[in-house]
Amino acid sequence: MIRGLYSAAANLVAQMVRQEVISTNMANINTVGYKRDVVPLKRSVDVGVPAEFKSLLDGLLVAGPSYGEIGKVGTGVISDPVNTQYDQGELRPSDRPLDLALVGEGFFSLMTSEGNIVYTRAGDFVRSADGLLVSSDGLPVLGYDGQLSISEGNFDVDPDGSIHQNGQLVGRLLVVNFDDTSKIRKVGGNIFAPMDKDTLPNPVIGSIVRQRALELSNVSPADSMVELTSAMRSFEASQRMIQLQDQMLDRAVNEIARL
Amino acid sequence: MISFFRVPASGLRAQQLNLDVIANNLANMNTIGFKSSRVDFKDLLYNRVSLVGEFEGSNVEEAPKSVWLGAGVRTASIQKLMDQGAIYENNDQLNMAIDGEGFFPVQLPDGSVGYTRDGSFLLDEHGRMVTQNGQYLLPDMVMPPDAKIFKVTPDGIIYGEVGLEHRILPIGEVQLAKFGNPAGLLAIGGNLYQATPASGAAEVGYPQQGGFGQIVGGSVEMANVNIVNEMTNMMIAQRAYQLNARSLQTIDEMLGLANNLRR
Repeated sequence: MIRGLYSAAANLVAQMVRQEVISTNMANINTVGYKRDVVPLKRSVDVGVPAEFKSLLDGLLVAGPSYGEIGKVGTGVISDPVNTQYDQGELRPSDRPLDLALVGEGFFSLMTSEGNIVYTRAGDFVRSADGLLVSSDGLPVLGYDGQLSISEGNFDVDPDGSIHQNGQLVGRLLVVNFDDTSKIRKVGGNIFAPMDKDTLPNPVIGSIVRQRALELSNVSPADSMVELTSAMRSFEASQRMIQLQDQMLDRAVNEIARL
Repeated sequence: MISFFRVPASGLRAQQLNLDVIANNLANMNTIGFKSSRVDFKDLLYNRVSLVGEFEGSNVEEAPKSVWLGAGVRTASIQKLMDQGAIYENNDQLNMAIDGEGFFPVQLPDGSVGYTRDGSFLLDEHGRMVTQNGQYLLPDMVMPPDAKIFKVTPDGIIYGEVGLEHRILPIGEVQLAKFGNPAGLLAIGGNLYQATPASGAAEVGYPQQGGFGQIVGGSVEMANVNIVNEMTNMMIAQRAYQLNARSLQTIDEMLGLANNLRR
């Protein structure tokens, strides 16, 4: 019975985590290039019933068939690692030539101030005062040949990421992807970073760069509301289970032995 | 426990700001030379949380197996969208619109230089061209007392009708300023901008040369606010606000349930 309390409590914790992930998604529903997270919940380890209990039953059932085991009992639920869902967000057209969206897999590459390369889906770029193409946080955007310099005036970005200005090729955006997206994680600021040094990206083939468009977050308000309600109700059910078991323990402790 | 509330609270704050910016854009729909703004959001840092059932001494290699919880959303920037507004011909020969990237430099009261796209100029009592707020256009442009403006050519030369003979003579030449990153200019109100480290220093030159744009005389530039986009964004922002409010409410209910575990 005590174990039942812990199983239900495990679900309270799991649903709280789920709720926090959902609310982070909701907070970022208007964040350009944001990818939603999901927490897969899974059944926790099963444990066999204690030997004392089994032998007790064996003793009671001497005449019956030999019960090798009376079964397993679950111990509640635990959460798997948070999965980021990389499905395509909707495109919103914009009037800025510096707004770029990726259609298909992959990431734009950015250079941090420490010289590391990080990755983003947010193409709300700006031109810095010294003419570099930078992210809205000021990190230089990388092309195949390093940082990209764009002079004033209009420029065109081809679907393959080549940037042309006044009929001249300025550079080509470095769009890359990872074989195993579970090896990268979000670090905030719409940025994805590899978890270790051995995780290296490959250039992407087949993805399209769209100019004058932004990729919205892939958070669906309807799905989020359903998830939220489901987390809430599951939490409530486990809370009721705990109360119920508390009442049963109350009976066991305070009433069974009363004559 | 309080961190549970911070995530939706950050979302509410962000959408509130978004609505403020949209409201400001809509309020300035008819402001001459106004440039609309846009808020860019970014997600906040992620914290690693160990969970029920997670192996206690998990080391860095096992970090992928743990749960990274986000902390919400933040505002990365509010940027001015510097695309061209519609040019409206009002036949007031003192008015000018810029078709292109430049700005009119004007003298601010504190001695520094401000920049504006608002070309609805007037003459002060000395015949100097000033903005609606009375700041001088730079370089000083003084009309002779017996002259009136005849026209402004696309390259920025102001021709006046001088004297009783109505001779057409050039009176002055408009200069324009441009910036490496005009979106980084600081809007200081009154249709004025100031240069910042993000925008870079102003480069001054003449219209129709080197990307400064050309002058359209007798016209003004309308605001570049797109009502349909703003209304759509407003609806999106409002719904996003409601979602975050709902998420806050749900967390509150869940914590209420936890508090009532033992009655």
